Amino acid sequence: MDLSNTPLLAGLARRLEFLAARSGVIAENIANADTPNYAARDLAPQKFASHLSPVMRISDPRHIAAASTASASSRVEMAPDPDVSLNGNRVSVETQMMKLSQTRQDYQLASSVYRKAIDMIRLAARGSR
Amino acid sequence: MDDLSTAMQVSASGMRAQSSRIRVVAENLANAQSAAEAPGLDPYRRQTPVFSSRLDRASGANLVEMTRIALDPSAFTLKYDPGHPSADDEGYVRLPNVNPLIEMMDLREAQRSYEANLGALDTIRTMSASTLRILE
Repeated sequence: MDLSNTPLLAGLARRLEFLAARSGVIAENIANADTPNYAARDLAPQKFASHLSPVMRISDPRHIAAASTASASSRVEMAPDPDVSLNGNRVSVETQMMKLSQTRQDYQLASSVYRKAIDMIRLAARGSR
Repeated sequence: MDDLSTAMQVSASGMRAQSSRIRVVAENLANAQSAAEAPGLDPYRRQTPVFSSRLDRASGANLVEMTRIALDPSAFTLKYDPGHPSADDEGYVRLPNVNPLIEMMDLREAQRSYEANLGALDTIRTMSASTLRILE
């Protein structure tokens, strides 16, 4: 049994991956908040369906399970903030900081759930002593 | 985890760019009264930083950097001071086109941008710390 491929842990790992990538894009926006003609970007939001589509369905016990789920990297799309400054820059630092703190909260949520799941597996392995 | 360290690099590049901007502003402020050495020469000309976003191929992230320092082409200010060694025939001295008020505004803006980058760095650091707590 590959623990990292259980649906819960794999889904959480994908979520963490997505949130880390999103925080990278937001950090780029904040760093470029004074670059002329730079418009803010964001990742396309993660869809619930992306958690449900297995790479290969196992319909027979003799099938070999796929070693790892291909991490579908999210698309970076333009998300310019409404206010345009004189040098054509379209990044609002306030909006980006808000997005970043939202991302951090989501990340902490996902990593706490991941920890709980690991704790449960550990409990099952050890028995209640 | 790799995404997070890339994000930290991006924030660091933003902080680096803003501190070079503060350096340029400090040069302008320091030279706000640097008149020309002789009557025919130009005094200190105000410098402005030019930022641009650069794709870092190693990490695939858009870093920011100060590509060059441009010169402000606006007119110099004139001051009537016949006793000054670099005054012209009519007694006017050409002083730099530096407006301390604008420089202070620019300084404050750079400071805010620096703080924003620092805040982003701090947030990303918290995120990677919460990843490490999974191991506990």
